[in-house]
Amino acid sequence: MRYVAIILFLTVSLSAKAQPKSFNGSTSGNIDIFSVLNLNFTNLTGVVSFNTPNDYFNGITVNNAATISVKSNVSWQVSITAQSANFMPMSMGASADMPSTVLGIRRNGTSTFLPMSVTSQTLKTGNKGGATTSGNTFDIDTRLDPGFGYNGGSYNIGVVFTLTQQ
Amino acid sequence: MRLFLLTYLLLLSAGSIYAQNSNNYLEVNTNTGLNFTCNDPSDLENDQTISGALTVRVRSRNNSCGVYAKISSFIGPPGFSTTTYPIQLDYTSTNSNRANGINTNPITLTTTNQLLFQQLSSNSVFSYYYNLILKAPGYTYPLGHYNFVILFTMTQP
Repeated sequence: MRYVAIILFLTVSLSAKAQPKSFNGSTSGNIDIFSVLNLNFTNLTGVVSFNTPNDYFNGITVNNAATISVKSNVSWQVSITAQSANFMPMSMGASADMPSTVLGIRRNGTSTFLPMSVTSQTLKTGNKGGATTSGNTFDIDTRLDPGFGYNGGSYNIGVVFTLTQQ
Repeated sequence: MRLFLLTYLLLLSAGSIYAQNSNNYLEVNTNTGLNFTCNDPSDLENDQTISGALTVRVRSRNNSCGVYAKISSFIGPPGFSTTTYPIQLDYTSTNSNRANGINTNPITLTTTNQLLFQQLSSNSVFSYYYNLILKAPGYTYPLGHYNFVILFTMTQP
């Protein structure tokens, strides 16, 4: 009988200290974030024409020839490479030996043009971020300086801009 | 007396199990894989939604209840450190006629319980449906695999 009294006492004590009842359930999920590198060109300048002697004496510089925007979740670099060692003649009589170095490209705000070649050159590096992140959107300038050594005509050359992780 | 004591404890235990599992319970059903992938700028710049991701089933026979949710675990790759989490629960619908005070706004989960809804006592089992949203993570999260656990808690007074 003494045991019964103890058990009843314990039961009453437990009831008096009853806590809110709680029931749980859970679920889980995953997020996978991969390397994202995106390069976008806007405001591209079109054909550059040499019309006066001064154009040949001085060459032609086009400031803000294009705007480049980078979106990346890793530190990045943009490299530039000429697709061919020489310009491609696009009209009758145009020279086939005008080298890619006639074209120079620089980041707007810097002083030195990088002469184009088939060897990759770093144009700019930057930190991860969207297009509005400081340094991720910038303009480029171009310079064409063929001198007097080549025939008149139309010329074309491809330039590859490559965005990679640093 | 020993036999009495043993019988008493056995009945007490059995009664408790029956009460929690049958009359009052919370069940979380995942209707699809809760997996998000970010491999494009739009994935990083925009929210991603898994529609109809979760169903929370509730039976609260003995009393009214409140159902809460929180992040109980969020593990990321090396370099990941944050106190805010890009996971939201977005209520869509319920078949409950005993619901009370449903939070219909998308809830950004934290490590603290936040009320999803309250329900008055009922014999019926009711379902509450939720979308799962990954808020745009932006470009600063370290690359890699993240795992999160959402803990739902039903509390009765």
